[in-house]
Parts: sequence; structure tokens; C-alpha cells
Amino acid sequence: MSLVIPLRDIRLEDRTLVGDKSFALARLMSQGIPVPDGLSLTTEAYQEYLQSTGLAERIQLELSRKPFEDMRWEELWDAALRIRSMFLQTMVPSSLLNRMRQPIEARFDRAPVAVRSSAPGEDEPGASFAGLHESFVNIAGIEEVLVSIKKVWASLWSDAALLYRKETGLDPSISSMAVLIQAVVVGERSGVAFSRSPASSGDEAVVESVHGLNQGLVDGSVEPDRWILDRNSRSILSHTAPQRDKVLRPGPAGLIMADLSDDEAEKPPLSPDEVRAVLDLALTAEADFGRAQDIEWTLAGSKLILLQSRPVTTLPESGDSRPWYLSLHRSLEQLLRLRQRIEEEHLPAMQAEAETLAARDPSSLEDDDLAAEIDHRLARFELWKGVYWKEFIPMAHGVRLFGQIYNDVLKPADPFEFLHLLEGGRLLGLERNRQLNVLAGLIRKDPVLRQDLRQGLDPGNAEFKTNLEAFWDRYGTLFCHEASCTRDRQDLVDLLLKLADEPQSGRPLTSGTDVPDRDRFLELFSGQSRTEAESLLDLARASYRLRDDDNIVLGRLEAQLIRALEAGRQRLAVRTGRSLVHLRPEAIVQVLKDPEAPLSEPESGPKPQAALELTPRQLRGQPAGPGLASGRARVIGSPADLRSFQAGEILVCDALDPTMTFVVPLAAGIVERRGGMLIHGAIIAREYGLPCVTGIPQATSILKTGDLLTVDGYLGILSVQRPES
Amino acid sequence: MGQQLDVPSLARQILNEQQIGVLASSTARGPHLSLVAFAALFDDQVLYFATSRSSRKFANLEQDPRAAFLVDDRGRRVEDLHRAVAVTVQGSAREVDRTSRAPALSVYLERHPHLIDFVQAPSCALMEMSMGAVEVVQAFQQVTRISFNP
Repeated sequence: MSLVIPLRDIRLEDRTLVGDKSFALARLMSQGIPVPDGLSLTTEAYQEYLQSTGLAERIQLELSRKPFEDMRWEELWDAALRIRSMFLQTMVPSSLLNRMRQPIEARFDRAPVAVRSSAPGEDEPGASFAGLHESFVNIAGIEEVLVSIKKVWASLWSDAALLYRKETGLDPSISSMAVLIQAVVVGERSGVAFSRSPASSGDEAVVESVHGLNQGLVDGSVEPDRWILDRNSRSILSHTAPQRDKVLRPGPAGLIMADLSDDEAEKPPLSPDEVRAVLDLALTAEADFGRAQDIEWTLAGSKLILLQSRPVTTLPESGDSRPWYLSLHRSLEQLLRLRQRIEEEHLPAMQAEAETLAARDPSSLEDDDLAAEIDHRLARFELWKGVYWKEFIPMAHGVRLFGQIYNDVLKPADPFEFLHLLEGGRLLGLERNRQLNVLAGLIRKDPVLRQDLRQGLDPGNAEFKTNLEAFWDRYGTLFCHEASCTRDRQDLVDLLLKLADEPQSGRPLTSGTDVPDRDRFLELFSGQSRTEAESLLDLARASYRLRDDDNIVLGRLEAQLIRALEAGRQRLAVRTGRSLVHLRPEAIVQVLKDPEAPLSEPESGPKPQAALELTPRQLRGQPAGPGLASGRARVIGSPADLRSFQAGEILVCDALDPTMTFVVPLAAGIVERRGGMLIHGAIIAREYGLPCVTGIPQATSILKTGDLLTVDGYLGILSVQRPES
Repeated sequence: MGQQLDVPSLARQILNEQQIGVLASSTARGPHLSLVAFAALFDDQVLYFATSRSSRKFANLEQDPRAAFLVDDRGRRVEDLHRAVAVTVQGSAREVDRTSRAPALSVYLERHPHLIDFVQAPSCALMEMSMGAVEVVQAFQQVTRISFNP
């Protein structure tokens, strides 16, 4: 058993025990290169912890909800959050704890240390986990060190690491994690260097440097000075200076971001000679390993110390999504800027564009103009969809950043407890439901009005009429989809009558005011960190709310695209006397431009449902809203199906669109194909306190309207009882 | 080595070694079998397992608590025919009541620590099956019945 190995005692055969990072440092240390001394907590400690606590099998149970390759990234986010919470909640058994504690305490006592991930195989050529696992700097005291060790272990299962394994086809179950515990060297200047630039094929090397510690450089929150050098002559080819304003320094615990003094902000962190010294260090490491190296270093006084060395990975030119996965993890500062862009630029621009498009009636355009208009709307919609992926989805990380801090501080049994603090914000979908509820309330109170509406008469209740008018002006039809938009208000009236029959309906659990836990959460912080916690909570609430609003606004743009497509489709249908419901957008444009173009409908209309004899009895998905409910399934294949929705039914859908939220007050539970805690269906289900199971593959094709469903929102299980035919 | 043990010790050993067994419950249309993770205390004549309240076995046992439970040590080998030992527990199963939940839960979780999230969900029922009798099959055809309530 080798639970702990000092860095200087690591041998060649220990590589898989200590992981790549520790192995490389041990090797350079043995060459006389200055490296902070430390200990490796080997993969044996990790494995013993996992096996003796049952965590190994719990992780596998969590990840086996469905085939790994079928999991959506949002589902992996949730799984990673649950797994991290398992690590935080699961104590290290005392026999193991004592054997870990003793050597760490003996070596470091209360001196501050860095606790770093060092996974075996993480720096293999072609698969670089650089940046995907966690490290913690300036940790003091054995208890804090042990917590950090668990977080490093858990980071083997971080969403980014899981997504990357999914991408590269690596099996997560055979992965393991060692931990490197090192004395903290507080350098005044730090940085990274590439002995050969990954960006060019020539003989160029790169040195980057910041004032203070280099975690800010590594995670992108502090912009570095950058030098390009010639590897052979060691001459500096170029120097790029950023706007220097921030610096990361050790705080009482962990690190704090501070403003640079004017003096420091003035000058580059390194002199030309120091830049060359850093290059020499990188070249020495390269010579030792026989491959170009990517190093991290720090300057303490005049002493240049190597913190880390790994091969420069030449990633495939395209198709590698690691940068995107990494981009999902943003710092608070980056998220605050992102929020500003979304709220002040993107959303207003999208709104304005939707209004501009709405003001232009496509059906009045000549053929050529209509074709151009469809092209234009297609292009604009694609553009905004791109913004959605690039900006809106990373914004959702605000919720997770908050969740992680909440879980770290409070260690709740339910890793999603933090969502309570985020709910009840002003969701557009809920706002609409509140207004529906006002209208339904008027019907409830006025039997004559109810009678009028049932008989299709013009209602005599003036208040109702005014409210209905206002609702119609604001939201229009609720039953809009690609094939057609019903212009008939009868659908809305029918929905209101159903809602009026339900005394409890239309009332979300949360009222939109602060939930009491907010204070309890904030009380745990004081001073500077209290301000940060408040700012983070505010950001997380915005991020949670935006998950809904962005979909609605994007939906408005899509509706305008659909409107133009429909105008084209109808025009061609009248001319040809054929129903062209499934004619694709490109074909519509083509025929409008050139009436002679062949009008070929795609062979696949609505795909005929395969006559499978398989009957689902119980399906496993993700628990997305706690509770247990039974009811008949109402499978929503198209928005038109919403019209038939009856009170007490279970809403089964492919993806609960915010535009479908209005039937939720009638539903007893929600089942959705897409998985995740932060998808719209789950958010709305939690708002209404409805049991919800997400991530049921092919939910809308394997379940049938009328099936008796039991939605177990605690366990993510759906029981199905099909009426005997 | 199993052959050297007396039959009750053999039954105890098989029940202690195995993680998963087969539960038989009954419906109006016939028997219903389910693979479940269990923890047994042979000397207390009780066996615990957990199930979702919306499962068929839970509904079946609510209707008719009579149950049988098969545990064996097969290893996908031809020799299983003569080497495998099968233990069939006969008895009745019901949900553990509130007062005895804590000790039952700790027995169950000691055996299956990884099922903590499952068993603690409000929609999950922790079940206890009291052993009326245990039948032990060994050496292909040798069957011994252990009755607790003769």
C-alpha cells in the first residue's frame, strides 16, 4: 500500500499511482530544477475511499440512468452536481482518514498548501484534460486540506471532464485521481510558457505573465502580458501588453482578486532578461522530456520556480469542443459582464427585431420579395440561435456557480435545494399564467359569464371583455405551431373555462417574493464575502430567470419566421391545389423564386409510428421536481394537442416550450424527453410544485395519451400502466 | 467448502454473501418475479429490501403479502448444477413501520451503502419479509426445509 509518496521519492513505476502532474514534477525535481516540495496522495487513497463508502457504485448508478453517449450536456451538468455533492457528504472512513492525515500533518502542519489534481493519463497526447480538473491554492489546516482533497477527487466527475470523456469516447468508470499537495510559493509574478507555440508551426515560443499568482491567468480572469520569442536565438519577437488592472493574491483562505497598484499597472511583470530566463526553464523541461512543454512558473524574489510541466498538446484543428466546455465555466466577473450583454444588448435587440418583423406582413409581398423575406428571417433566426448557444447557455452557469457555493457551505442533503432561492423570480411564462388566472377567476365568480362563454355568446361582463382584449393583444393565440396558427379565440376561451373549473389552478407555489432561506444563506457570510455572496445570488436569480425569458424571446423570432414560411406555403398550396404542410423552407423559397422549379415534398411527412410491440412499464429518467403523482398521460405531439388537455392529466412532451406553459396549472405532473434540472419544464414544474421526470428518451412516441402514469419526481422513475385494449 | 457446513449455517452464509435475489409476489393473473437488492438477518428471521411505491411488486404485496425469495450462488458455470446452493425464503412482506425503520435502514445500508439516495427517497418503501421457512437446495437435488414456526 502506498497511500502517500513524497515528491522526491516518486519512481518510474509510480506513474499511474501519482498521476501525470506529480510524476513530471518529481522527474524535474530530480534534475535539480526548483520545484515546490510536496506529497502525492496516490490513486490508492481515492480507490479505497470509493470502494469502502459505496461511492463507486453510487456514481455508476447516477451515470447509468441512460447510455453515457445519449446524455445531453444539461443532464451531465446535473449528474456532476449530484456526484460532487455525494463526495462532499460522504465522510472518509476513519481508518483511511488516519493514514491520510498523519503524513500530511507531519509534513505541512498549518502551513498553506496547494491541493492539485494529478490524474493518471490526463496529459496523454490527443486527450488533454488540462483545466478540466480542479486545484485549490492557499489552503491551511488539515481539515480544510481534507475537504479540498475531496473536491479534487470529485472534479474527476466534473461536468466538463465528463463531457470531454464523452466526446473522446473515454470510459469514465476506469478513471482515477491522485492528489498533489504542495507548499504554496507566494510569487510576486507568475505565468505560463510554451517551449514551442501551439499556434504556429515555426520556431516560436510563448511566455505569458501576470503580477501576483497565476490562477487568474489560467482561468482567464486576469489578462497577461505576452511575449513571442525565437526558440533558437532567444530573442523577443513581439510583446503584447494588456490593460493591467487586477491581481490575484493569497487571502486569509483561498485567493482574492485585488486592484493592481498604479506602479505595477504601469510596467510589464517581467524584464526582457527574465522573459528569457522563463524560456530557458521551459526549454530545459522540453530537453528532459524530449517533447515541447507547457509550463506554469512563479518568481519568488529572484528565484524562478517551476510549478507544473506538461506536454504541449496539439489539438485537432476542428471538432475538439474542449474550449467550449471550458467556456461553460465562467468566473463571477465574466458572468456579470455576460449578464449585462444579455440584458442590455441581446434581449432588447431580439425584442426589437421581433417587433420589426411583426410589423411587416409577409402575405402582402410579391413572390420574389417574400422569398427574400423568408431567407432574411431564416438567416436572422440562425444568427440569434448562434448567440443563444454562445452567450445564453454559458449564462446558465450562473445558476451552477451559485449552487456549488451553496452546496459547499451548507452541504444540504438535496443538492438542488439551492434552486428554492432562485425560484419565484419574474418568469414571463408565469406572468402570462397569472393573467390567465385572473381571467379564470372572473369566470369562477360569474355564473352568467360562464354560461355565455359555454354557449359561444358575446360575454356581457365588461371587466372580463377588457381583460381578454388586453390578454389577446399582449400574447395573441396560445395555440400556434409550424403548420398553422389558430386565429380563433375560442381555444383561449375553452382553456379559461377549464381553468375556471379548477379551484386551485393558476397559482404557482412561490409568490415572487424572496423565500426565507435567502437570509439564512447570506448570514453565513460576512464582510467582503457577504457582498460577493449577494452579488452571486442576484446573478444566479437573473441566470435562472433568463433560462426562461431567452427561450420566449427566441420563440418570438421563430414565430415571425414561421409566419413568413406559412405565407409562402399557403400561397403555393392555393396555386397547386395541394396541401404543402411539410414543404421545407428551402423548397418554398426556391419555388417562389422560380415557379418552374419542381415542387417535391419530402417523402417523410409525419413519420409513421413504428408498430412496436414493446410496452413500457417503468422508465428511468432524471428526478427534476420532487413529488409523486398519478394521472392519465396527455402526450403533446403538436401544440394543437394542448387544446385537449384535461385537468389532472400528466403532461408528456418532447420539450416543454415556454409557449406551452399555460396548461401547466391544469397538470398533475410533467414528463419530458429532454433531461436536466434547468430545462424549462423542470423550472416550471418546481414553480408549481409538480412532480417532474425529465430525460425519458422518446417520451412522446413510447407513451400514449390515456396511459396511466405515476410520476416519481423523487427518484426520476415513471411507471406506466396501459389500459388493456 | 459449503458442504462442510450444517444447513442453517449454509443458508446464513449464502444470505450474507449475496447482494441480489429474486422476489416472488403474486397477482390475480399469476406470479410476478423481480430482481432486488436485499439484506437478510437469518438469525432474526427477517429480510429487507426496498422498492419504489409505484412498482408492481409493491402493489402486489399490498394486495397479498405472501412472498418467496430466492438467493443463490450461481456463477455461470456448468458445475453450478452440482455446486450451486439455492436458498428459498418463504414468508410475508410488508413495509417496515416507523418505529423499526431506523434499525432496519442501518442493516440495509450497511449492505448497500450505494443505495442511500434510493432508499431515502419519500417515494421508496423499505420492506421487511419475515421468514416463515427457508428451503436450502444443494448438490443438485438435496433439499432441506428449515421451519421457524413449526
